[in-house]
Amino acid sequence: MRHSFTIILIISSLWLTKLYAQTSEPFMNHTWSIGVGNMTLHDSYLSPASYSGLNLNLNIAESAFYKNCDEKISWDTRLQLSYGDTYNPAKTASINYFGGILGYGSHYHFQPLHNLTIMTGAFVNVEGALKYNSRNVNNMGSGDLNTTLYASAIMRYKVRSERLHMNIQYELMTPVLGCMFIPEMGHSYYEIYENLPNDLDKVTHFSSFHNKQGIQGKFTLDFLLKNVTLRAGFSHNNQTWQGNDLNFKQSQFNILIGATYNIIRLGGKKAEK
Amino acid sequence: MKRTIIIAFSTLLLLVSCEDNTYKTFDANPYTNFDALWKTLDQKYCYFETKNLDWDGVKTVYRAKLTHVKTAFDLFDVCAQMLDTLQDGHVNLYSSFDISRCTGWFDNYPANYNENIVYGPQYLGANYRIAGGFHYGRINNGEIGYIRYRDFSNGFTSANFSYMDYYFKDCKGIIIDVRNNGGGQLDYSKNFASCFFTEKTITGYMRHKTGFGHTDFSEMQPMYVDPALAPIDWSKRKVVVLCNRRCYSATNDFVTKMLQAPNVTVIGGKTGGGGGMPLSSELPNGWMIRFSAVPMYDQNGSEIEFGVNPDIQINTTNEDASTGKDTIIEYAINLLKSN
Repeated sequence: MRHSFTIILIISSLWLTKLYAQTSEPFMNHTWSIGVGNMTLHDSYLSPASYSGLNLNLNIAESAFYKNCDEKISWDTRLQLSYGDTYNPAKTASINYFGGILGYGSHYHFQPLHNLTIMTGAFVNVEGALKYNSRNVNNMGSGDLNTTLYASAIMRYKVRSERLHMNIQYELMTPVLGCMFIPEMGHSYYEIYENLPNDLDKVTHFSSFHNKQGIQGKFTLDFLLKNVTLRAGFSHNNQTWQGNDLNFKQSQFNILIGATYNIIRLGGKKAEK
Repeated sequence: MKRTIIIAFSTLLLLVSCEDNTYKTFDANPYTNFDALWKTLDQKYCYFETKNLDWDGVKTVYRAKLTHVKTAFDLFDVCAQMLDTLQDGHVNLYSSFDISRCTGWFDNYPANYNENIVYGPQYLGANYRIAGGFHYGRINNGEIGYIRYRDFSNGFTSANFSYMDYYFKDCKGIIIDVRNNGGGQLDYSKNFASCFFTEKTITGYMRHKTGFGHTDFSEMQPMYVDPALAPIDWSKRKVVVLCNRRCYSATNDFVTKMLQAPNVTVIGGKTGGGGGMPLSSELPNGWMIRFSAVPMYDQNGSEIEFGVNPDIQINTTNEDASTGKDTIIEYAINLLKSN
């Protein structure tokens, strides 16, 4: 059951990706941003303590409207790379965090007011992270791996005056369902590695509201200058998940700066026209 | 609709920010730390049933001693005394000023090893060779190859074995001395032992805790040696393995495997055990605790936590030591020359 679900989720993601590549408008909105802030980690496989410290993020996002949808439905892709350098409360041990998120989403656009756009939709993310505890023996590392379907909503307000062109945007995502890897409580990674085919059903979990909760948000201000759009804002990510008597928690608060620009995507025969 | 969204959002916020049992702040309180230590072991230590330990009773006895605790040193000593009741070399408490350790598992056994004799002129001498984690040389007038492996944390490569194989090509047999080797990585034990088997073989089992109860374990999973992954094929060579009580953890696992290898004889003293792969946790004051968490068994599913017996039990003697001889090495030489 779990394996079927995982396979369906992966195939759906690939199919959607193919779909967007074929049907997308060539005008694409492209954003690069970096984030600096604080991260708090709890991974009861590694330690019963909360670790907190520096967090650095690199975010790359693209979005465009699908073809023939009258600018009502858009797609988004996101790549996030994250690094954390965290310490236990007594400052006697550290956990280094290396994470990555690859996501694809689609949103329907409503325009209740002239300058206000509300977008609702979903993201399918593939998320992974490696956590390394400097002091532990045999359980020195822990890995997160999941595919998750997120419900997503974005609100964008355009401020247009003679002197100021600005977009105010807030995005909100919450995990709905997916599939995640969680080792058993006393499972050593030596054992998982040695017996992965036998242990796959024990370490693979269907996830939904009963065992995974979270809110990811991002507040951004886009300043439209003469040649470039500058972005500033903050992001928060609070997630908690459980399984096999283990608890995991992750909070990130980051200040963001970046740049947004439009590009025209041309390739193949289109480029010759 | 608006109300539903607000309620759902508030519930999510509540769920992701709700209180849990994690240590969020530094806490030096002796009772908090003692209880955390006791609970961690109560939930995760794997040998309560095997050792028939009354862990609740242990708590009652040692928690009462906290009334006399005035410093971090006092607390450490009470915790260390409690841990000593487990009689387990894989249980240690690490602080910034001390590391607790249990020595009872080898204290009352013959040493069966003298470093000065092994590295003396009779055997390895001063000019022994080093390949990876191995010290090696030819002994007994070049008739016997001798390998000393001190630590299973030190790795090796196929090239190390190829050169040793060439160096030992005219030897009648090889002695592998793992006495006083306190363990290291299980991978090295598996790869080294794989050299002496002719086919993929189940040499033991392991299982892990699946819940907080003392008997909550997974099914036993087989552990294999596989000659296909071995750095060299020594399955045809005559080999004697030397062990003693200080063979612990990964070395205990290695000896367990070698007892099943076709052309290998294991001699010396009973190994020290340490059949539980250790994991770690920590206390609110930042001290680390290491404890046995993943029990391992031999090919029959029997316990190896208390050590395994060699094929031939033999102890070193003072008479031999007085003439610079190691009784166990001499026995191994005779065994290899006689076959």
